[in-house]
Amino acid sequence: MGLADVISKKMAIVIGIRVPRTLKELDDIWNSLKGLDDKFDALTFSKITPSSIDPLASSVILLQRTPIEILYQLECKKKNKSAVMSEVLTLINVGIRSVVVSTGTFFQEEFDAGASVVSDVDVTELVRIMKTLERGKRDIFGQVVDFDGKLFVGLRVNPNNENLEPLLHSIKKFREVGADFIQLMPSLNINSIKRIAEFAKSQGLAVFSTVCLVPSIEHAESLSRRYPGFTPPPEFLEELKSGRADEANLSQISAMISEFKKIGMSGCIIDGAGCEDLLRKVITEV
Amino acid sequence: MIITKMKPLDEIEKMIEPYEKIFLLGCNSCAAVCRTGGEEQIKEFYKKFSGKKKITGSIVAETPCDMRTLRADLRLVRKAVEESDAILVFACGVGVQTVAALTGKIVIPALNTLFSGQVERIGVYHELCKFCGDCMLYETVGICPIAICPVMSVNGPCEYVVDGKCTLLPGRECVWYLILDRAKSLGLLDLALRYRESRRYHGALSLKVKEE
Ligand code: SF4
Ligand code: SF4
Repeated sequence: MGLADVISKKMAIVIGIRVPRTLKELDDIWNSLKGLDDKFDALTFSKITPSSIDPLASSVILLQRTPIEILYQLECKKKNKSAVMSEVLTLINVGIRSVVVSTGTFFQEEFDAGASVVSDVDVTELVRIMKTLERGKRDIFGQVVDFDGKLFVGLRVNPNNENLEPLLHSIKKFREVGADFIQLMPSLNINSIKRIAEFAKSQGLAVFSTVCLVPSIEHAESLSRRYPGFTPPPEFLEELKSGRADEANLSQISAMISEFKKIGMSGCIIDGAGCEDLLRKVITEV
Repeated sequence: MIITKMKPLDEIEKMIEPYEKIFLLGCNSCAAVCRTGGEEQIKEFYKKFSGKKKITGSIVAETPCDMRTLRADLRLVRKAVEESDAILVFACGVGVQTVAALTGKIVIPALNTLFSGQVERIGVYHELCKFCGDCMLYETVGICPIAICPVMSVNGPCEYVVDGKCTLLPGRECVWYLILDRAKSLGLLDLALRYRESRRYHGALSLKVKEE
């Protein structure tokens, strides 16, 4: 059952694991999650290092082993239009239907080193391209695409902002170009999350929220790069320092998930990339 | 304004090393404003190198990127240019290439060409245009998202915005917060919110020769 179907029945749970650097690493992560597939509805790969195996290749390998639902993170700012189009065609052909489009993950060292950003396409445009392909069965070069399915496409929004007006304008635009959902990035600002979620729902978009597991202080620091504006609360960091990472994460995640249920989120992404052992414990208990 | 920066001295020295007779050519336009290729800089180099090399002559050309004026300027120093083994050019990349095309000589760039920028004061420049070839500044109320936003988002703020600031460029406002704010105060919000396609500013495959 695809994510779009799942959310019509319940709040979907998506787990986030790291894009591996070796196939062995992929095997290890997957083996550690064995037997827990009834605890989540989809899996997403997150990049936590500047170089890794291609996330699409990782997804394909996993799909060959098990018929899992993948929420694919499609980054658009490091590729030109033709490379993005190839990635979209590959996704369609390997059976991935749920995609969250993002600007891309910029690791500070990579950005400083001047890794070029490509101006060919931005996130809004990429959603439009995918939705045009879904409707018109043609790619951006006008070539026919043999595809009959439906794509479930979303974009990221950062709730860590006091002035939400520009974000709400963007959300409206996302809907206009055909987006199906938004993914809220991790934030402790519940008011902001609520306001964005309500607005997105009023526009007909499903809303996924994101929580991330934080096993250590160093991990918290690296998360602030992937999720700008996110910092765990000081009490939580104190618990980490005193060696109670598991308990702290469990209670934090449970609290956030019940809050998300109250808000009426369509799904929750539990990002355990880089701390898959903790992820296993959390999804077993939550 | 084309913003240029002087190359490190040892890099220039290495490039001119094989040549005995050097001609110095400066630029009285952008490079003069940036103080990288005007009268003063040419004089300085003259002093520095006249002991080590034979400087056959020098000129600060009016606009080295303009074939018409450069041709006229070169006529004034024809003999000194001919006599030289190489020309050390204190101009942007366009100027260097124009000098090479008109003289047929070995050219050595003394400057690095950085970007097209607004001059706040000498040494403080802001890159405000990427020459995308399809200007959207009316819609974006005079603020260019291609040149200013590090990911060139043309449809609104991306996920790197935190409290209205761009976390990819620490200390800078998100260009889209600025655009929408200005658009609102000008009564042009609908215009700024229009969907638009990205521009390809670097179009490597198109060598632009514009004849108008
Ligand atoms: S929209 Fe294009 S032409 Fe206009 S300022 Fe920006 S890069 Fe330059
Ligand atoms: S935060 Fe704003 S200025 Fe920075 S990259 Fe995103 S859209 Fe561009």
